[in-house]
Amino acid sequence: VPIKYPKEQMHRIRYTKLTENQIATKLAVTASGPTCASGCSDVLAGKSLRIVTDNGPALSYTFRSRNKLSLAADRGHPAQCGYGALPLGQSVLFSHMLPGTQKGYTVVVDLGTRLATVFEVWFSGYTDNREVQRQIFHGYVEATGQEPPPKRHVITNRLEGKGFHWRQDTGIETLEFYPSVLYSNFVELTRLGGELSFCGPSDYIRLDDDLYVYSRVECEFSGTMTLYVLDLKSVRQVGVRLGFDENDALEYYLFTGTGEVLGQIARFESFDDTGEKIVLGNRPPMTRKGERPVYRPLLTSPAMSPAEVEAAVARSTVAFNPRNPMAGNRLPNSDYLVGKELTLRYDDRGPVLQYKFDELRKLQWRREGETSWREETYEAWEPAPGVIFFGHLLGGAAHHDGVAIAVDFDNALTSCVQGWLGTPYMANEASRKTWFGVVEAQGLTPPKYRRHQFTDELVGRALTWNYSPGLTSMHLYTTPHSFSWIIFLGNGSGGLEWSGPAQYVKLRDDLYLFNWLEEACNGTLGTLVINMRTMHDCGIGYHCGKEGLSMSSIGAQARNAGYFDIRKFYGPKQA
Amino acid sequence: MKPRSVSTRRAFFCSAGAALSGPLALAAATPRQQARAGSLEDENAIRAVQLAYASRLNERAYTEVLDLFAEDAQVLLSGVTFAGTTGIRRLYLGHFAQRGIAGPHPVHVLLIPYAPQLDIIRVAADRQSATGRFHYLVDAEAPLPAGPPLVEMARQQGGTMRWREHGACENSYVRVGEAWKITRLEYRATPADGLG
Repeated sequence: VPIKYPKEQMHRIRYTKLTENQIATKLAVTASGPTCASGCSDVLAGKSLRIVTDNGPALSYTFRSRNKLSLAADRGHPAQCGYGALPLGQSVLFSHMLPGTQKGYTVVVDLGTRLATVFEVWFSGYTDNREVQRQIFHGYVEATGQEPPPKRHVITNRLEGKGFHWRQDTGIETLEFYPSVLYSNFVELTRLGGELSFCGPSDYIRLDDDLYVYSRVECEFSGTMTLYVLDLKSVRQVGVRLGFDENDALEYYLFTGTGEVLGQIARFESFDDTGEKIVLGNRPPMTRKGERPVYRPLLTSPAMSPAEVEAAVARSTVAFNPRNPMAGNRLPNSDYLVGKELTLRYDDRGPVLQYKFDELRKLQWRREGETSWREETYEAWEPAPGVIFFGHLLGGAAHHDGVAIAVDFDNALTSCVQGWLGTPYMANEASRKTWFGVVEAQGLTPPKYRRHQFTDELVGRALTWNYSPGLTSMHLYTTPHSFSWIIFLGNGSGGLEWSGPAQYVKLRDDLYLFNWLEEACNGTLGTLVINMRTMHDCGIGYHCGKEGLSMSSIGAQARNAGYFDIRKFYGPKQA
Repeated sequence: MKPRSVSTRRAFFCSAGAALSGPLALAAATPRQQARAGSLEDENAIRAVQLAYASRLNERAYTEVLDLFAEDAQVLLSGVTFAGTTGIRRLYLGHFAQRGIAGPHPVHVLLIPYAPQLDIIRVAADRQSATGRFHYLVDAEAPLPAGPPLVEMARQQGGTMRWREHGACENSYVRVGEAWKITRLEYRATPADGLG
């Protein structure tokens, strides 16, 4: 069976804004409980459990069979529900919805310690009704004649930095990375062909040293929740998936899975920080039930119409504004190009650009065959000896193009990332094309066959980037065609995270030209030269928003944050 | 009235002997010596006010900071003037205490005395007003400015910009009853080599 690549990747799917009534109708079938490819367990059949939670409900369960239970919440009238349960070690995960409502519970009970964690889940709790909401309660199973246990399951940073390959009993395979205490990263190898990685707000709970609960909600996408217990030692999982797919079909099933540990990237909290508290900084406290930090890029940067883009560009077009928090640690401008004249000739009918570099920040350019020169502001850096990276806007271009160009004068090679405004999805989103070619200049004889080329050498690596005091992110190079960025919290934990399509080009050993697109986000095209020897980058951001069009410099210092062994999962495979 | 320069920190130490033995010698002191002793007393009181300002600000005791200002005082910070009781309450209880997330000013500062030998206090001859300049090494924390997505994400999870700078408080004081109060406080960042 050939790999079924989706017509659109997740960030491009226009998920239906389901109404509350539509969701209620679709949830009717959950009255019989979740399905399970491996069959549900009867481990709870015939048992009764009263689960008392801290600051939450008391849930009195009677499990009448392997798939029927009754629940009296807070000693109310019992509800009859279908459910499913799966054991893992001494823990059991069971899940059910409450018939006639849009609410349900997924509960993890440790039968040894009597500790329990309850996920109350519900639909129609956010603007996008299909997005699963959750509130977590910790508690215990009441036992006659016994004191409540003093401890509780706790949120944790013990999973932070870990990565897994999971294969479910459904046949679904994913790569999942936990570089944050708030978010996680997943690559859908089966559902989406493993081209891009995506991110979702996540929970991490420690049951004991081996068993953990992980959950994520695909916010800003389908809104589906994936929740599982994982055993670090056996690398097995049992879990539940709840939500509506891209065709609005209900997914409510339990799954088992086996996994492979892919590695461990670095964590940056102090050694004594166990992550039992998430350290959010200078932001309003979260008071609404189920509230969590969620990055919603299109709320921050709404899509613009073509007319709005043209108006914004006309209002303001700025090249290299020096006040830029992304460039607090930028390299010094290089004068390497000043006084030089050269032609950059790109293959495959790519652009042929002629240059005269007049001053440190002023150049003239024209396309081959044109007679008149255009003047632009540029900035250039020398990220490695003999390699110059520079960029500028292409004045007069119909789509307000800009270029970010790496020139290797030692090898007479060049790569150009050409960006322009507009995609079939958003007018203010950048498109890009990467061109490979040669340098023609006095004293240089360019090669006939050798070129820079795309590479996967960075895939799996993680690097931190410190742009300015207090502004540090981590790049996780997740697939050959995408990457994720994670913003650190004040205590060094990973925080909010997002991802986008990316390209990786090898310039030299340990020197890469990297670009990414913030698609379905604010539309930025970022292009960097990453030097893995100096652990510094230099880069150019190309962006159009309501404030106008800008090209800006980027510069940060890096730290090596580790590696996931994942390249083997990518590339065309035999079906 | 032009303030009369009566002290630097060095002058204070030079005069300390006279000040300490003051109670014994005061009865026999000349009017000039008595004025000098009074000025030293004022300088110590003003220095204590400034110490209290820094320590209360550092400890985020913003209500107590307000007690150090005269009623019609003003504070100049980042080019913005906060005038009178209302303005100063807005700065310390509104902005600092609420960790204002919209303003351009730091949401927290830590004032570390720096180069105290360069601090200057000038008490007017009538001992009713004074000026002072106090130098600090300042650890500041401020909201991130609007910016690209990475900055926006940092803002959403409460990220702030943190930096260290040299700065000086240029203050005016007035005697209110037995106490000294700040009538004007202006903070200016200074280059490290530009102290003075």
